[in-house]
Amino acid sequence: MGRTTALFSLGGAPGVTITAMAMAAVWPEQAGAALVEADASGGDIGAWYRLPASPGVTDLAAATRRRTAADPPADPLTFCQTLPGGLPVCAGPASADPAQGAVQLLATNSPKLAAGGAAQGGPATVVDLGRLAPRTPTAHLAANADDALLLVSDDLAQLRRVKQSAAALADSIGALRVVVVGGSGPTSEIASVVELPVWSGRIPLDTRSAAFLRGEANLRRPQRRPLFKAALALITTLLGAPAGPPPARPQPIAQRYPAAAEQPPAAGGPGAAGAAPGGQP
Amino acid sequence: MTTMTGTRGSAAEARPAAAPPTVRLLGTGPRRWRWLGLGVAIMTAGALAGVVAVEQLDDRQGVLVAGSDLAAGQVLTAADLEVARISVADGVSALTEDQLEEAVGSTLAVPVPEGGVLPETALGADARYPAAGQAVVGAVLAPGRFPASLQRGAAVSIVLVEAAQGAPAGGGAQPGAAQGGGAAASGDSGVTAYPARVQSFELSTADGSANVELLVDAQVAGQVAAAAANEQATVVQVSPSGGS
Repeated sequence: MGRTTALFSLGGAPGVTITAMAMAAVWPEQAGAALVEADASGGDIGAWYRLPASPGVTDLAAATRRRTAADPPADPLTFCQTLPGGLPVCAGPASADPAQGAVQLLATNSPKLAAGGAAQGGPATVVDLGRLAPRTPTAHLAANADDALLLVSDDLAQLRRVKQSAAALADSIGALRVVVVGGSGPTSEIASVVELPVWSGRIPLDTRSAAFLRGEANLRRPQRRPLFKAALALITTLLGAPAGPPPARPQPIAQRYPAAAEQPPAAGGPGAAGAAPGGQP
Repeated sequence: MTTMTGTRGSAAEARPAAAPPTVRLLGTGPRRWRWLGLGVAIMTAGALAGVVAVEQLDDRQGVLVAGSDLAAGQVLTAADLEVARISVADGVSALTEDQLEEAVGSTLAVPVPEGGVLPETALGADARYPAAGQAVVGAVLAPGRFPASLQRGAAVSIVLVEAAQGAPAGGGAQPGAAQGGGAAASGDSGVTAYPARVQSFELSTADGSANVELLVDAQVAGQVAAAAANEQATVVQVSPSGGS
């Protein structure tokens, strides 16, 4: 079964969709990867590539709704359109209203988005979750992914937001990793501040690659661009690490109690975090 | 850019196996314009190739034609000749425009009518006119001694009337070997006929007489010339096919 990687941000638009697309486009395994645009605030890919509205995330969500317990989970690959070049994309609706409904349905019925079903050697799945808010269907989808990547711009406000959300995020999302977008230099300092695993590399700000991914420009050798190199390095890191711990909810919560016991009551607030499965902001 | 829509079927399987990580996306942009330019260039090259091919297929060449009626023996001047572009088949003898300088100043061996193509044999040492065994005799025919339908190239019989002249020499009266096989049909006394061909024909408007040149057998040329001078020759037009 292919690996499911969810990307999201907490705010500030660090380029979640672009990064997710770059990762799906360079996914090194032979079966490649499918991109699912489960952004509750609406998707962009359909507009960038002038895709018809169907098939897409809405149809995928509708398919999960019909599912009975005996059926296999709905396969996102079935609802993908293929972009020029061969990247399968399950594009989300453009506006927030239907997008939110679709994400809600997905989180309720089929939170583990796995392209190609449970078959061996199937393609990986890259899920673009957009902005994540606590206790939302988006957070539920992130928690069910094999890898959850929190993209954050290298600026003070965003890093501070991540730092203050870290405990609650680590609670609800098992295999969480922070990926810094932009800036330069090692990320160890950021890692020490935000108290979450931080990928050692950075996703560069690469406007030409971004224009390429939006279908606005052409690149002679896109794989040589910094964005795609970084995306490949990030995937290599993910694939090198053992598959994320099964995102069973009780486990991180159970881990959290001793952690909370060690820490003075600082991060989580007065005991509310453990009660809310979505975590505490 | 166009999108490849349609539900995803076998994109993953269709991808080349074991391809090292490449980007599974295609961009849009200037390269499309480059392709357009390439297309235009190919179309232009094709059109030019077509033009060149048509030019090379055109095998017409310039040949020399007579600008006016040219008589045999005339010295050619540039004014006598014109260049016409025609397609000359193999085996057709014609002087090309390259031979214009050679032609000017040389003597024309055969008569060429206006607009006629000058054959290669019209010039040069091997051109002979009249041919061996033939002679051209000029004569002025009084009205009534030639048919009104007479014209250049007509096959004729020259009838010599030797009424009161006594027995002719007759030495040349066996033109059996002459062209056409008309031979000397001398039956009645004093009438001898020889086959001939009208080389040129000029009708005098003053008195109705005709100035003709006749191609005759060389052996009878003197006889015909003498008869013509004495106004004892009559030209009879016969069928071109030979019967007299």
